[in-house]
Amino acid sequence: MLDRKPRVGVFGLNRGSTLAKNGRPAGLEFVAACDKNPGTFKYMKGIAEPDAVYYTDFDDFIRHDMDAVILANYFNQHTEFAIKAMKAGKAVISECTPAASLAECVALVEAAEQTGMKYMLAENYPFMRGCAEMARVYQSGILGKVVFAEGEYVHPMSSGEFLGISPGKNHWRRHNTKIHYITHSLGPLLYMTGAKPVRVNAETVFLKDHALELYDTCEQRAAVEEAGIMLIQMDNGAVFRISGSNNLAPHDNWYRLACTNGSIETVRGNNGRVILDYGAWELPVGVTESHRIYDAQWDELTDLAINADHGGGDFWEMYKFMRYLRYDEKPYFDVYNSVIMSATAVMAYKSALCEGAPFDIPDFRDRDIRKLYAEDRFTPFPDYDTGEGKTLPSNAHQDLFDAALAAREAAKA
Amino acid sequence: MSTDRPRIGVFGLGRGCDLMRKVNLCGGQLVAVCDRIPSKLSRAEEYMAPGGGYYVDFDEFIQHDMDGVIIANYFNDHARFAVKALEAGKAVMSECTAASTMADCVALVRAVEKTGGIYMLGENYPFTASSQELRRIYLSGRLGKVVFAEGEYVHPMSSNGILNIAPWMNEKDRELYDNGAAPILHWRRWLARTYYSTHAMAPLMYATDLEPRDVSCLAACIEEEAEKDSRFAGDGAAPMLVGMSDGSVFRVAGSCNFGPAGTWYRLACTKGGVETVRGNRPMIRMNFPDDRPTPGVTVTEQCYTPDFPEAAELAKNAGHGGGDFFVVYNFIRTLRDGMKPYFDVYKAVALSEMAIMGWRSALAGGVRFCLPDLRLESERVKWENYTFTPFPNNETGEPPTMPCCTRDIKTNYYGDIDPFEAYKARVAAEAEKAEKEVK
Repeated sequence: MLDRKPRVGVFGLNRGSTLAKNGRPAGLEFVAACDKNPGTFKYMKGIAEPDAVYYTDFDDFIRHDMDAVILANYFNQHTEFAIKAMKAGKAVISECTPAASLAECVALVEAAEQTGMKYMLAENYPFMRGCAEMARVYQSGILGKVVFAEGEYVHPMSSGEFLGISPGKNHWRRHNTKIHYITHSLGPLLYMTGAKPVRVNAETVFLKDHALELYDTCEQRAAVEEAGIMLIQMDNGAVFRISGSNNLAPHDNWYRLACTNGSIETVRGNNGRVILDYGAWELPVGVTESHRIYDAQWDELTDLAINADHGGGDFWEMYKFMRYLRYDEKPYFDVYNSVIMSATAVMAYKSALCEGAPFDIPDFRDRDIRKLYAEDRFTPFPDYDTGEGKTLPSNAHQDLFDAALAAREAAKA
Repeated sequence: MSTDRPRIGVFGLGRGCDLMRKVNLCGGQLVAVCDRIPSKLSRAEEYMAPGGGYYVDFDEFIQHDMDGVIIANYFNDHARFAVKALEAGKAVMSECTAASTMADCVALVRAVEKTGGIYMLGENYPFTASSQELRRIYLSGRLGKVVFAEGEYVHPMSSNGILNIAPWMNEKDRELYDNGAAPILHWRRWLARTYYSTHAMAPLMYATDLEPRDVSCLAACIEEEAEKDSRFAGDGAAPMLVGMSDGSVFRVAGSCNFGPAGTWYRLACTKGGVETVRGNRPMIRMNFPDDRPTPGVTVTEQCYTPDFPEAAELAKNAGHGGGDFFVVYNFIRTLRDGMKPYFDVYKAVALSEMAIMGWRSALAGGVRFCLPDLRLESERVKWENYTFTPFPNNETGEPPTMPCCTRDIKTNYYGDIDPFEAYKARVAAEAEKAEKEVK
C-alpha cells in the first residue's frame, strides 16, 4: 500500500509521453524521464513534475528515486530493461511486446519471481469501451461458454506513414513479421474469457508483386508479407482466430465471442458499439430481444477515459497500474499472462515457418518448461543500435521473396 | 445436350422437394421422382408432368427417360448415386456435399471424365444477391488482390430442432423405415464439423475465382457441452485456415454450433474490403482505407442492399436467399443452353477435399495438409482407396472409420519430431548449398 501518488519514470518518450499524459489523470506522478534522444524531452512538458529529472542513459535513470517505470522503448527491446528495472527495485509497466524470444520470456518470468517486483503489461485494447462491455457480458455467464472467438488488429499504412514511424534499417517495424504484434488481437480475448492458449498454427500471406512494391517504396524493408492468421486452441477447448498487425484494408480492430448460448462482438468499423445476440431458444429469463445493437460504456470514470488515447485504453491501463502500485490490486496482465502472448506469437511464427505445423505453447509458470526454452533466442528482430540478434527471416515465405528478387534482378540483367 | 425444356428427375424428397418446386419455374419439366419412403412420393404430384414416374428404387428411377437428375438424398451419400446417374447417361446436379471420402472424390471425377456427362454441384449460397455482388465487386478490380477472407455457415439447433431433421426418437419417422435402427445412422448426428463447409467456402471461391490448395484446422470441443449433445459429433466448431491458389488465406467454418445462426462472407484486400453486414446478410459493406485514396472513390465506407443481377423477380422469393432458384436455373441452362456450370466436378470435389482433409487436420491436432489436385490421374491413384469417413453406412449400418468428434482425441501428429528442428536443418542445408555454389 502506498499512501501517496506513485512516483513514476518514463523510458522512451515517443510513445511514453502519451502514456504519461494518460497517467496523470489516473493518479500517477512523473518524476523522471529517459530517452537516448534529448530532443524528445520536450514531449513531457506539462506532464512531468516541474522538478523532474531527464536522462539519456537508462542505467543512470533507473537509479532515480521512484516507485515504478513505464517502458515504452522499441517494441522488441523491453525485456532487458524490464529486468534491469525490477533488479533496481522498481515496479514495471511494459509496453507491448513483453518479450521478443522464448529465452526472454523465461528471463522475464524469473526476474519477476526472484525480485518479487510488480510487473504489468501495458496492453490497452482490452479496456476500450466495446471490449470492456464484452468482458462484462461474457463474465456474467449469460452467454454460456465461449466456443470460437476472433480478434484482429488491422493496421495498413501508406509507405509515407510507414517510413515516418520506422526510422533506420534496424527499426523493429521494418522487421516486424505479420505475426509478432498479436497483443492487441489476443489480449482482449484473454481478458474477456480468462482462457489460456495451449496450441497454435499459423499461415502468412505473401503476394509477390505487392511484396516487391513494399520493398521498393519502403527503403528495402525486411518484412513484406501482407497478413498473419492464427488458429489457437485454448485450455477450455475453444478455438480463437487472431491476426497480427495485418496489412490489409481497411484499418480496424474487431472482437467477437461466439458462445454456446449466444454471442457478443464489436460492430465492424465502430468498436465503441456492440452486437449482442442470443440463440432463439436460449433467451435468458427477462430478455425479450434476441438481437441488440448498442453503444458500450464503461461502468465508471467515463469522464476521465472518454477522451483518452486508444479509445480510452491508455487511461485504463495507467489507472490499473496505479491501483496495483497503491492498493495491490493485481492486474490481469501480470508477468505470466503477458509472456504467454509473446510465447504464442513466437510459436505461431515457428508454425508459419514450418508450413503450418501446430506448436504447443509453453506455460512459463512451469519451471521445467522454462529449462527447455531458456536458450531459445530465435527472433526476427535485430538490436536497433548494433543490428545484431536477428536469427529468423521477417517473412515466413522468405524463400519465395528471395526468388522474386533474384528473378527481377535476372530480368534486369 | 440441347432441349427446349429439359426433363428432370429428383432423387430424395426431403430437401429435394425445395429444388423440385423450382424445376418447372426455371424452364425444365419434372418427369420423375424417387424416394425410398413411398409416402413422400405424393409430394411431387402437384409439379409432375403428365405420365411422370414415381419410384422407390434408384436403379429403376435412373432408367426413366429424362435428361438430368437432381441428387438430394442424404448429405454423405451423393457420390455413388451421381456415378450411377452419369453411367446411365443422365446429367447430374448433386446437393452438397459432392463426396464424403477421398475415394468417392476420385470415383466421381473419373466417372465424369469417362462418361463425358454433365456434373454440377447444387451449392446455393454463392447465388444470393449479396454473394453475387461480392463477385461483381471483387472481379471489377477496385479492391486490389484478396489477402484474407472469411466465410462461415453458423447453424446451431435446439435439441428439438435436431430431432426433427435428424430423426432418432421421432416415432412417426421411425415407423417409415423397415429397420428401426436406420434413423440412428442419420448423417446429422455424425456430422464432423468441417464436412458441411460448402456454404462457407463456395461463395468465396465464386467471388474470387480461387481454389483451395491446403488446409489446417483446430476443432473447438467444450467437453461438458459435447456430453450434453444428442449428436455423436459434439464439437462446437472446427474453423479451418485454407491456403488458396494465389497464396491468400481464407478462414472458413461450416455448420458451427454456436449462437446466433447466420452466414457471413468477407474479402479483405490490398486496396479495400467488402463483406456482408454481420447479422444482415442481404446488405453489403464496402470500405477503402482513407490514407490510400483509390481513384474514383470519394467515400471510404458504403453500405447498401444489392439486387440480383438477373431473374430478380423469380429469385427473390426462392429459398436460401434466392440461391435455390439459381442452382436449378443454372442446371436447366446447362442442359438447355450448354452453359458451363461454375461448380463443375473439379471445384465440387475441391470443396469436399477441403472438408475431409480439414477434419484429418483437426484429428491430427492442426497439421496442415495439401489438397491433391484431382485433375491429375497421378494424384487420383494415391487417394482412390482412401475411404475413411466419420459417417456410418446408411444402408448397412457399418460403423464410421474415423471419429466424428475430437473429444478425447489428443493426437500429436509429429510424435517426437520437432518441426522447427526440421526447418532449421533445411535452412542450414540450403545455406551450405548456396555457399558451395558461390565457391
